[in-house]
Amino acid sequence: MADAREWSALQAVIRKAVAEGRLGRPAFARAFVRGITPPDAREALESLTALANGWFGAEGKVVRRLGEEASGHLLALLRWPGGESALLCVGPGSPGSRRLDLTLLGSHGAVYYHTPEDLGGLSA
Amino acid sequence: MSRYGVLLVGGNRTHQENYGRAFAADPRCRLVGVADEPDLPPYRDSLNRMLAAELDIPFFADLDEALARHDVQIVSMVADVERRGRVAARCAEAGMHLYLDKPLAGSVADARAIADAVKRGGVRSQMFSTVTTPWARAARGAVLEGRVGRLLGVHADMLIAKGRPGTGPAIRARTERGEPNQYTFVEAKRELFDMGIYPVALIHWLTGRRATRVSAVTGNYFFAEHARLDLDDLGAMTLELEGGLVASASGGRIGWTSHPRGGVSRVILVGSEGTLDFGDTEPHLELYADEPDFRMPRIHPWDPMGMWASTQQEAGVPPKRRWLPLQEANGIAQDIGAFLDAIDRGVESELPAAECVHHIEILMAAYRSATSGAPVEVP
Repeated sequence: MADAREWSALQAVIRKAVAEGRLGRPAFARAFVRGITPPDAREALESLTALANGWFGAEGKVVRRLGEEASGHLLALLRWPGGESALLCVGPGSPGSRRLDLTLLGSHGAVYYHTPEDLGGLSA
Repeated sequence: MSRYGVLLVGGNRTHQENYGRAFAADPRCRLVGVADEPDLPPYRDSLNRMLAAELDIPFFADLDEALARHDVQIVSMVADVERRGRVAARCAEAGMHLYLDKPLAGSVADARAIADAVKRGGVRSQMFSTVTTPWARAARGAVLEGRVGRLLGVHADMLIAKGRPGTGPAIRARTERGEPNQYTFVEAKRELFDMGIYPVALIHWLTGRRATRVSAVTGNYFFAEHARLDLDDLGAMTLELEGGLVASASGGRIGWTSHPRGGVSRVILVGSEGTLDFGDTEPHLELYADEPDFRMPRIHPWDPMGMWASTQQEAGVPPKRRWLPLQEANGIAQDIGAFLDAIDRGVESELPAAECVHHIEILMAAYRSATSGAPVEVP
């Protein structure tokens, strides 16, 4: 994916913050990726789910999955065995304009992230 | 010259602390007094009397006596959630316009009783919400103008940054026990109900479509108080709306130090032509200076979650000053102003009781879904 570097960097920073105990235990994620073309919607939602699985340390169970793949808009409500939960969404947009909007709530802290501009701004 | 006499039902340690002062500040209004049902528990009676004393207005121990006065046209109604159906219906039947605290009531039957009484009384009603804020109005304008093309989804959140987080015994998903029937506690509230009402009301107002099916989860993530009382401190849901539209909502209390300002209050519109987001702090500047950062305030024993203005003041909760929104809003004053405008013009308000019944239907369906783990049809 075009945004793999950003997501990898994001995951690393969040892992470090969690390891340092700054959030407490991750509990709830609200994430939205915009700028998804319909053929990429399912993969983008799966990538978001994989990110959340990393934060919560297990495989999440889909409680409800909705949306219209043909339009590039999907959302999922998930719950993890440890009690964590997430609302993950992907939405349509023009190719090359992907942006991530993330709220990750821990038991005593939170991480917020908004892609400041089109992805690809990170150096290799 | 003020046109409307306003009777306040409910007192300190309720949102009446804010509503009452906002009515008093509007030149169209004068406060007539504080009233409530007789034979209330002593703590509630004394808190009602306390607000009357602070505002220097009479206290009426008998609600019916106050409703019989000829100088009352509006009731600002903040009775305990469990009593709202009965009290609000009585006020509407007495011919009073109703400004209603959120959520409308603690059961669908009570919510319908209020809406029916409003209709019978031929009065105006409005529930407090975010729909009259500039950002919500901008979102509605975008929907009406088709700025995102065909609307595909709406995603809204209300995560309030109050309370001391990290005190809960463990992260755990809740197994709910059906629709709740008790809401009033000193230490905490059911947050999917109390905060989830904002995104639910906003989604319904923005789309004009009813929810047909809801799936929800609730959790105990942050607070010992919620865990001890077996109340959710956060909930999340998906909504399937008429016409194939989908939506999602989260509502919760996340802790004083888990957000640089008051919390997350926003909506994202997803359409065939793109995505737009709107929120109460966007856009904002960030200001850093040699001045104190926000620190965890002293926890008030009668309000550990920071629910009320009076107890926050007593606890010395410091302001959060780093973010400076370009458009600073006074949500309560604007909402009450919009209600008074509707009465002035003789038109329906933007969020009348009849519309708010559906919010309770959605929230109750959400608690049933969080109980069963399965989607629940909304009646």
